[in-house]
Amino acid sequence: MLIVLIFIFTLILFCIYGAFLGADRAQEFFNSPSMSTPWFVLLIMLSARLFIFLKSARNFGLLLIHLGCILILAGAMYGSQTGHLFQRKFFQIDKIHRGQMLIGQGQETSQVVLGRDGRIGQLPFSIKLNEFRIEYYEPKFLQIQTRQGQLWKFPIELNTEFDLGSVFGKVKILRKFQNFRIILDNNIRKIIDSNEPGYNPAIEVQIEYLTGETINQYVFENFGGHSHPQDKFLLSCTGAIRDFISDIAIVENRNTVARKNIEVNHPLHYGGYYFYQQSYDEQGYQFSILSVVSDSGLSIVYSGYLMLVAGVFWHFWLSSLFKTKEKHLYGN
Amino acid sequence: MEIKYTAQGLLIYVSMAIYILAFFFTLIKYRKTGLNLYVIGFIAALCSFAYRWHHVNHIPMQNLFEVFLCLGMLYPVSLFCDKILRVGGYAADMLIGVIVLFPAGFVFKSEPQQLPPALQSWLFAPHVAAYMLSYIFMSKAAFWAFAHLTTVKNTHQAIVHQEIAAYKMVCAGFPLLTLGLILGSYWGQCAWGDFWGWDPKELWSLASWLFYVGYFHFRSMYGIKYSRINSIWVILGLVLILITLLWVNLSRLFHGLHSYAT
Repeated sequence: MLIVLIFIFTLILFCIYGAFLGADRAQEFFNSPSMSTPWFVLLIMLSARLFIFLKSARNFGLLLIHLGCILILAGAMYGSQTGHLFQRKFFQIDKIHRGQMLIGQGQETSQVVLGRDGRIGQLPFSIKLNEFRIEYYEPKFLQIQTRQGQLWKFPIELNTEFDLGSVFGKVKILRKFQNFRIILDNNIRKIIDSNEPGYNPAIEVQIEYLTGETINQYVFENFGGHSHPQDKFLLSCTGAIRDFISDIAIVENRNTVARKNIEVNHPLHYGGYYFYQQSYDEQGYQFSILSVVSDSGLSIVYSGYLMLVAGVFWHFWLSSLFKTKEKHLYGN
Repeated sequence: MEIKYTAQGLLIYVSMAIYILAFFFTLIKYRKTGLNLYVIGFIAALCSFAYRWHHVNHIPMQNLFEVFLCLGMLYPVSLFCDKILRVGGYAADMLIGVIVLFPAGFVFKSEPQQLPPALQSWLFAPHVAAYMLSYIFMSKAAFWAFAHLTTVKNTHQAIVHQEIAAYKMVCAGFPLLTLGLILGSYWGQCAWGDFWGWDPKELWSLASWLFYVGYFHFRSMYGIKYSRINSIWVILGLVLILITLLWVNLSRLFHGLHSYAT
């Protein structure tokens, strides 16, 4: 038991050390060959303890907890990079561990970038990006900033006059657009809120200077910070991003076999892989970056999670806290 | 430090004031009045939480301000401990209520934030709520452990009672701590494709979890033979929780995936 305690303390120290390293370096540290020994020792210790529980056929909760931990560790090892090499060597399962796919709108690819060195892997099917879009929260404020850095924030309310102080004048929001468009009507330029497909939200702002001069300016949600050199103010009304969505299709033998909108928290599971919305083209929204992760070992990890949670509640709540006899509270 | 001249701020200060009053009445042996005030303070804290929910349009558990606001509603936990687990400590809970509402009232900014895509998940509320509940239990455990270490004149039986009360609180909080960890891990898999990302917050929370695992092993070995060591263990467990909850988010030392919680 004392060895177990020492081992737990060692793991705690490793965790604290890893926290100071930062996620990337900690990942390298905990996956390094030198760390494989402590993981195996932990697995053996847990298995030995499990064997004792099985033999004595008591403490069902503790049995579940230890079995849960073993399954989590085993599943994580099986699904790791080394685990994938092991699968290839012994079970002839040739799967990509993890990688990224960069797909342009309307394009189709089966290529996966495997690591930082740019190695390429191939999926047995391809992915087509039908459309990538970003959804924003309704902006709550019009932000006005002078070139000297003075800043105001006003709620987006139509036709309400806001004061910019004794030096600059007043500002008013005249109109809101869902899909701002400029069209030519008999050679006359017209600004409209178009019903056609598209999303280009904007507001029309009127600034009245103290001199009496009035200018109208359009502020675009999707293009924050857009201004002319002669403008006294920088205006913006960008809402925070609510969602990134990649509308994709899985293509196998030229047939579309599945279609899904991949969003953060809503990955696609297909052919032994999970596809996640990872990043996108921040300039023109022309491509989407998906991360591809193998599902190997995940079901084992999830079984471990269930057992661990069931075990702790069984042991600490049902068997300890609500027990009528309190002898167990005094320990051994 | 800032004073909030808003309805939100007012509700927080009212809750704090009532909790202080409840604590004072309990101390001078007006236990029933103290308890009634504690319930009123809880209702004020609940109103504060509901007001925030209405204001931000999502369950307010996103940042440290909202988390501490949530922790201020600890009366149901006190009731559960008293009626079901037979562990009292209402006075301590009133004090804990004031302590956790203080950062919400005077330290953290209350500017509303919209939920980023990663937080728009059904796992958001249960993950945070499980952790918050476990933190309340662990705080209560640390209080009993502290009482155990600092009690001088009491009988052996009273000291054992305090140690066992601390143990019971850890027993109540540990499954919730585990649930919070597991739900977070599952959420990481759903959002980023990693059930474990080696992020500083994850590592500190694993360190806290392992620390309590160590406590259970130690207590299983020696029972109440080294009861003072048991209590020190429980207090240090809370220190690790505080590091996980506060230091990781507030310090520039730890950059990671949980930075939105600041």
